[in-house]
Amino acid sequence: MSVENAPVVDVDEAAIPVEKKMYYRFESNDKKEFRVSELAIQQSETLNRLVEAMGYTSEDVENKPAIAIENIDGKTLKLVFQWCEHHKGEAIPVDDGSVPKIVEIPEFDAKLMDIDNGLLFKLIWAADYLNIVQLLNVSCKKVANMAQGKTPAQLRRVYLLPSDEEDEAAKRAAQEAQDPRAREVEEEFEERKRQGGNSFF
Amino acid sequence: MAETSDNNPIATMENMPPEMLDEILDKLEPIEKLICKRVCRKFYRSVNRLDPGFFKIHVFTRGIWFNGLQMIRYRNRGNNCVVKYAGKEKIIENSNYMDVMISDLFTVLTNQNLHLAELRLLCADPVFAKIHELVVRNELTNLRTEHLIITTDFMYPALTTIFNALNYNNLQLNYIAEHILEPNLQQLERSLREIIDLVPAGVNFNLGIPWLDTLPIGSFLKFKRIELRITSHSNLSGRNIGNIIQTLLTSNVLEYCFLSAKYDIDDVIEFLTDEAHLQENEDVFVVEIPDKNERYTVELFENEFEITRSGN
Repeated sequence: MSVENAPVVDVDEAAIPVEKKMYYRFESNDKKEFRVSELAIQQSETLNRLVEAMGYTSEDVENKPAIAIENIDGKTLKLVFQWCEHHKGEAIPVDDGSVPKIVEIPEFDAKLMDIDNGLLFKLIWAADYLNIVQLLNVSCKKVANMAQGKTPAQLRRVYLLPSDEEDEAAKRAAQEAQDPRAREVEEEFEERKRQGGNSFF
Repeated sequence: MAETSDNNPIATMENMPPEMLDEILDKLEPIEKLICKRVCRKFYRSVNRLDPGFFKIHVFTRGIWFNGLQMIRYRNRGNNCVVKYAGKEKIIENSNYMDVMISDLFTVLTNQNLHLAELRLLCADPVFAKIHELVVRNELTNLRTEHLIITTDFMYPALTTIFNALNYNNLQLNYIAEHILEPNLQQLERSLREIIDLVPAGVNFNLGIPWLDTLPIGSFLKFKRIELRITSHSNLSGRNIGNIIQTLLTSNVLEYCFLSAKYDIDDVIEFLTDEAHLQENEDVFVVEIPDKNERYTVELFENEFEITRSGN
């Protein structure tokens, strides 16, 4: 199924769901509304618990206000729900540490995440906030893949991270925060930089 | 629909909360995790919180092999260190190759989330000296590996430091062959005693050594599982082997021993039957353990024997 055909719908785009299944209405923090199937919601532990606690009937869904998701904007939430609809009914991975984490990005997910970095980072944040394990896995993997074959300097450019000079300010701020562990880490990092340009890693 | 939202604070890697950065960096290949440590402090902290993803590390004189990676090779070129990995070269200016190599090794070894199954040190003495120097300087202890495999000269003092810094359940110690021709046997025997004293009793001990007339076999009685590989130019006598067996049978804890050496099986059987007065049946001796309702079974083969403990 292509990303464009994923069945998540903005309310104003298609008011009546085709299937007669339980749907819920959600609203982003910029007032975009979405209808999402009950099965798709199960991919999100957070939303699943929320709708279970609410105990809505089909009539409640239509008559009561949409469930507000305060921390996520409409553009990000649309991607989230498209992902959930596409993967509805799939088993949710359990990380018990017993098997190495090997994450493959399916074609649908790859297309869905063909977006700019800012939106991708928001998608990660949303996946984490809504506790959508596999979406978090694939979106993190997508960002991790950007690091392949790069040097530290190239990675700073790819991830738009500050240069060493700019980072000095952050170092001072961390020390001022008087967090002993933070300071320890700063010193360790500095020591490794001093020791060498002296390390391959 | 809005492109971005001020209510959502995260839109850059720099603002990424630590737990999410950990999720991302945990998806990296092990070598990329190591390289990411040099990106910035935030990445450095994050990678330190993660499992580096290595379970086998082999250290050679001029290279380190981490499972899943190609060999990383180090050498000096003028005043610089040249590191070769996957067909690429990196020059680290004004650095000695060994400093760089051992620094890289400890970058991984000191990670608290490392779950190392095997650490193999198959390297020349100067590498051990550098490891010793780093362990002492940084007061390192509790570095963990399930299997520790060391091939070296036992008389090298840095070994003591290494044994003290590492925790392991299985130890394989190999004396390097070229030294057998010119050993100071008394010193070797003394070094071996010192090493055995440092090895915790619960460790499965696997030792490869040249034959020593004064082999401190009594020092092995604290171990439950022993594998001894003894090398010699000529056959050991039935008495040599018979004495080892007799001593091992006095252990209170030994559960299994395998020994390989050059000997004539008939000489050993003759010693055990005539002088040790053990009962033999088709090259097998069964010795009851007093007051324990258990027995040792000694099974002799050409050039190797097994001792196993069993009970009712």
